[in-house]
Amino acid sequence: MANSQALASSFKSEVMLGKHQLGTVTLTSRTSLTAPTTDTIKAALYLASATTNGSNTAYTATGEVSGTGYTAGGVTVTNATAPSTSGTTGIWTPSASIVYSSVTLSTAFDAVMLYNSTQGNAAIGVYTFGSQTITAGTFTLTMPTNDATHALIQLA
Amino acid sequence: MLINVDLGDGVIRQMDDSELTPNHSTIENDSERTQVTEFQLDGKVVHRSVHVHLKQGIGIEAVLGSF
Repeated sequence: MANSQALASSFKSEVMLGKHQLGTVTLTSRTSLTAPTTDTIKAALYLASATTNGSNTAYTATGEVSGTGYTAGGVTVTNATAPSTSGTTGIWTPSASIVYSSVTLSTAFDAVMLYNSTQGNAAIGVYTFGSQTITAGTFTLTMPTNDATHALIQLA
Repeated sequence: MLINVDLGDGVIRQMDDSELTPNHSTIENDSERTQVTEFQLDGKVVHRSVHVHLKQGIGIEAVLGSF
């Protein structure tokens, strides 16, 4: 037998669960220290002309879409499946499609930002897709398979 | 079947689909499969719904340092 160095696979999902606190941080209360509640995750859409990317530390209204039926800040993401580990990869994917119903978004958009509205709107990530417009319709983002090679967040 | 439409004034109304011309299309690449449903009235798009199926998320590699 030989030892080998590695990050614990479980650590990768536990980071997303907020189990480890390696430094000080200002948090909005999650009700209980020992059994904290799940934060609310939201999804906002961004114009194709915007420059939203990984450097965004929080939700911004700059470059966000606007139109009939769309509320600034976007919609709440259904998050019924906790982060987990698949093989050696920590994974997380929303448990349902993200849906914007009965909207008219006339200016082309091509990105969605997921952010933590409970914790000061802290950004999680920006995902892009082919540029779209919506007319009196529904925009649906269906999630990928929640596994080590497709999950919305893969921490390998 | 009633379809939500926007005739260009930003107000969402409903029209019977028999009055509209439907158009369905699908675009697929490595990162998404997108289905578009459009209805036109006199050549103008009055309804457009889009369903994007994301195929893959974002992977981050956590690197363990060494002494």
